[in-house]
Amino acid sequence: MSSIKPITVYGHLGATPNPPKVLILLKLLGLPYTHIEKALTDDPTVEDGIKHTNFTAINPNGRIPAITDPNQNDINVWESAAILQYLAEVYDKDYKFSGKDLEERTLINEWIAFQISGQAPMSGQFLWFSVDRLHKAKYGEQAPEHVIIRFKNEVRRIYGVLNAHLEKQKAKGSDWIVADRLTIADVAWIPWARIIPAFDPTLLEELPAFKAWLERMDALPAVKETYAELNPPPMA
Amino acid sequence: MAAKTPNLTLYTAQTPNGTKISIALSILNLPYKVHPLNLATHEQKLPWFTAINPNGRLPALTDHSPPFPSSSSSSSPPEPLHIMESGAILLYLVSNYDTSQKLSFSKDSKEHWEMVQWVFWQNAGLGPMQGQSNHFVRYSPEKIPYAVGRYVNESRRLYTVLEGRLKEQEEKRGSGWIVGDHVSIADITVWCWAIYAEWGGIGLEGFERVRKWRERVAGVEGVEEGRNVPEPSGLRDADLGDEVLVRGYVEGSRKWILEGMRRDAEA
Repeated sequence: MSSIKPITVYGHLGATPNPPKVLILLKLLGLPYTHIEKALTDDPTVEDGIKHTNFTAINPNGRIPAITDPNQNDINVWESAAILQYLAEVYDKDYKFSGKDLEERTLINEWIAFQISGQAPMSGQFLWFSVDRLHKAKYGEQAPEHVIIRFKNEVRRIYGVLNAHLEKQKAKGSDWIVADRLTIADVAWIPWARIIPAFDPTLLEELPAFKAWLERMDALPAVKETYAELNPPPMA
Repeated sequence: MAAKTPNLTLYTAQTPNGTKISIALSILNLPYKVHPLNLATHEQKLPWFTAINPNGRLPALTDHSPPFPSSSSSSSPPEPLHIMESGAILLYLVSNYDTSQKLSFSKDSKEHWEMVQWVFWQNAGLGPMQGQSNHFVRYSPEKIPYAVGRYVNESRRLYTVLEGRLKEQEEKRGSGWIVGDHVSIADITVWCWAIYAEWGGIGLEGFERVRKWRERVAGVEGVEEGRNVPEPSGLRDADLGDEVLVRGYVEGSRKWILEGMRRDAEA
């Protein structure tokens, strides 16, 4: 793989859950990459900000992560789930971390789609309303309890679904979300899963299959390396 | 691929995510059985359905004769494949059944990856944010201005991104579609939410391209048929200024929505 030119990753080495997915997969695949730190600001005049036209030309949504791949005509790919699929399709030729056939690819897509439409946005809303330095700092008062509970319950429901699924996988002899090996479906679920226990301290004890899965993920060298390179999360 | 007659069952209701699939099936001209689920009685949480979709949400699709051998034995008939999550279902349908690329693009093209990005953009962004907007504008028992503002504003931001994309497509490629030069699952998945923007409190004044694109997609053959599955929408063409009509619809849905939240909390 020495002829592969480094892939440009636009990310942020802080407590933002989507860029680590891409870094973990790049490390798993042993791909070279150059990390470009973006400033998380809505101000479009900030040169290295995510809303500056130099970045919205790459990702019109003005969010990280995004990648540019010099090995494929400088294609820009954004949305973390699309990036995982793209890297798997182009560089994981022996299907170590991706689906080897349509059935496996579809199962992986299900769990990735559930991650991006469920785990991520609902966890994000739960944190927004429950963490003082977010909602309360902006409005000077706590959100009503029932709003916090709405999102907390939804996050708990989602991890309950994952936990039950992992128990089924366990019964089939698998430690992973899809098939019999680590795939990009697991990679997608890692970052939020690592954050959420700090905000719902009893969750892991209530969901043992999820807890065991998270411990396995944390022990992966690619995950350890990725998080060692990030700045300590200020929210923890 | 897919030489035999497809044998598909769609589990759905008249919701934005459900109609994505019925519209795609109509455009692809694929035969399928419809299994309507009654959200008001929380049918989607019953064990027979969570065996199909462990998340207990709509839509789900069963392919009774998927194009791969059973995992237990290659000589026995294939086991049915159950698929959850509208994004995964759409990607499966085009991978397996859209050989003439009516709703997709060649797998090794740049357009393929653009399509995947916009489908996931809807799954991860527009759907969840407009969904919360619906909740706090229409169903929440208490009006909470900063919750309404948060989701209406984020949804508006996302429509601004869509407006910009449609402008780019128009100016650079002379195209009226989100990706490439023809309608795709990227348009379908976004459209099914965009037609209910106003219901979520998001007025689309000033989003001229989005409004025209909504009409363009509505005119695609198969969209009209697919959007009325399993029955026509009660909100279809509703005058949202008609307070009696809106209140009637909200009251009818609020009861089961709040009851569903209560049950989830106790589960």
